[in-house]
Amino acid sequence: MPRPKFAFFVIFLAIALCAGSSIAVAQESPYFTTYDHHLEEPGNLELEFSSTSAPVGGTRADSAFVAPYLELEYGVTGWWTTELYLEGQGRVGDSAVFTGWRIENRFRPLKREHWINPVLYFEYENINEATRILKETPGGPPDFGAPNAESSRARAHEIEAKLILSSQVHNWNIAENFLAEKNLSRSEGFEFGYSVGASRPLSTLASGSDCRFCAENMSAGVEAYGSLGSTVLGFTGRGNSQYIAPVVQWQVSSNSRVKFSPGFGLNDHSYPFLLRFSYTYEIRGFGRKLAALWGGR
Amino acid sequence: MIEMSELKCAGRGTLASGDRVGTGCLACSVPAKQKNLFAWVGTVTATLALTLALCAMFTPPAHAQNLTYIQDPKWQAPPEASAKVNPLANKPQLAAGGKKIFLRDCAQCHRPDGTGLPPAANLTLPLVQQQSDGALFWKITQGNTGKKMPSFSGAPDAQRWQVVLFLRTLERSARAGQ
Ligand code: HEC
Repeated sequence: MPRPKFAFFVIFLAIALCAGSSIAVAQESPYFTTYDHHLEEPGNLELEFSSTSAPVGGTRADSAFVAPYLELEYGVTGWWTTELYLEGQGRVGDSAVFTGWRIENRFRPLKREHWINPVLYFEYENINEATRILKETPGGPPDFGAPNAESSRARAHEIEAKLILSSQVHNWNIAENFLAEKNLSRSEGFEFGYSVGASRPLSTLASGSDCRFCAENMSAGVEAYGSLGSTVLGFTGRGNSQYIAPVVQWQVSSNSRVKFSPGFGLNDHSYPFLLRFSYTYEIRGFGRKLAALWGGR
Repeated sequence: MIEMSELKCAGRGTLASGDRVGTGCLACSVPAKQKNLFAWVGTVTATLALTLALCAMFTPPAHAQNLTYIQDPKWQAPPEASAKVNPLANKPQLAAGGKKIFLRDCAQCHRPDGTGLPPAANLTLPLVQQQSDGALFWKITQGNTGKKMPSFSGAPDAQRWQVVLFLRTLERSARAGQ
């Protein structure tokens, strides 16, 4: 099997080469698991290289792991953003495996800004049991005991829907996500989860000069995510994983930014500590450049 | 998330580590390693093809400068928004920050000189410049997502007012260029 890092690199290089380099980044929240109502600008392509890792294993005999994933996010129109994920995972004392792909779409049904802005989210996942990116944590805690060779063979075709609610209040973003997930590969009923976040930029005025380390390039906040139960396991709250995680973001240059988040498990069914990291590179007007390559003007 | 259980390969018994994988007969005859390779190559190719196809389908070819911009009559700022005064109006030096944001977040559609790549508006036109600061601020905040103008409500208020300060300088430079 080709190494995930190599494949990620090839995709990145191909896209970066055909798109050129005049690029930039807009208003992005620093969250990892929470979505707000700001979709990708039409025609822009965002490449996000992320990882979720647990430096110490979970309470259910799982070893420490690193789960890298690549997100390709494209603004199809002003009200529709589509995203493709490729994910992998490596565990201490075990192998590294490809854990599958996901495709998601976000739709903004209302044209104008409101106090609360809804976004509808639909995702199809073709993943396996070795997945660890923990983008969402619905239902009960996963059984993480099995070795990668075994767990990566158990495929899961899942569909997921989210209701994203998000508000801008005095330069703060406040977002609440509610999700329902259904595994089509086996009968686990419907699983439910949530993610909520609040964040704001550290400075609200833009300086006239280019600066790398100034406060206007930083934003910070906090998110909380976890499970709300499932139709099979019930809704008593027992056995559900719950996390709280501060998040920080630094816009390194006009077209790239990094995010970082240490997450803390709040009960025995969560990893005690999660580290999330991401590097994002945005290609502005990607669609237009591509059309030009194919003979458009 | 799914639970681990026995994996069965159609009609061939339970899998042991290193065994062949799959549910159908064809899949069962492919070794697990090779299947992983197919999955990878397939996924990477599909990703690229999908991205390229989507981009090509939804992106009109670019023309220089929008000479035929027609304003959407349904996208008008309400009177109370139009009446808002730019709180930074007496700090023209802050337009430099607005320019930085404009070049970063807007120029890809409106061109660095504001004259607009269709369908984006030509921001130097009188029909844009005659609007009040409050109306421009409202349009930048709301966007017109059905017509490919994104909403920038996620940017801090002050930065959006800085952009409005900068938009006013486009009018002056357009006049100077005439
Ligand atoms: C993805 C492309 C895109 C980006 C990025 C973009 N715009 Fe626009 N903009 C448009 C389009 C398209 C229109 C015309 C919408 C319509 O037809 O109603 C428009 C219209 C406008 C108008 C209204 C013009 C009028 O007729 O009153 C203003 C003001 C404006 N944009 C400012 C900005 C600013 C400031 C930014 C950056 C912060 C920006 N735009 C970023 C595409 C874009």
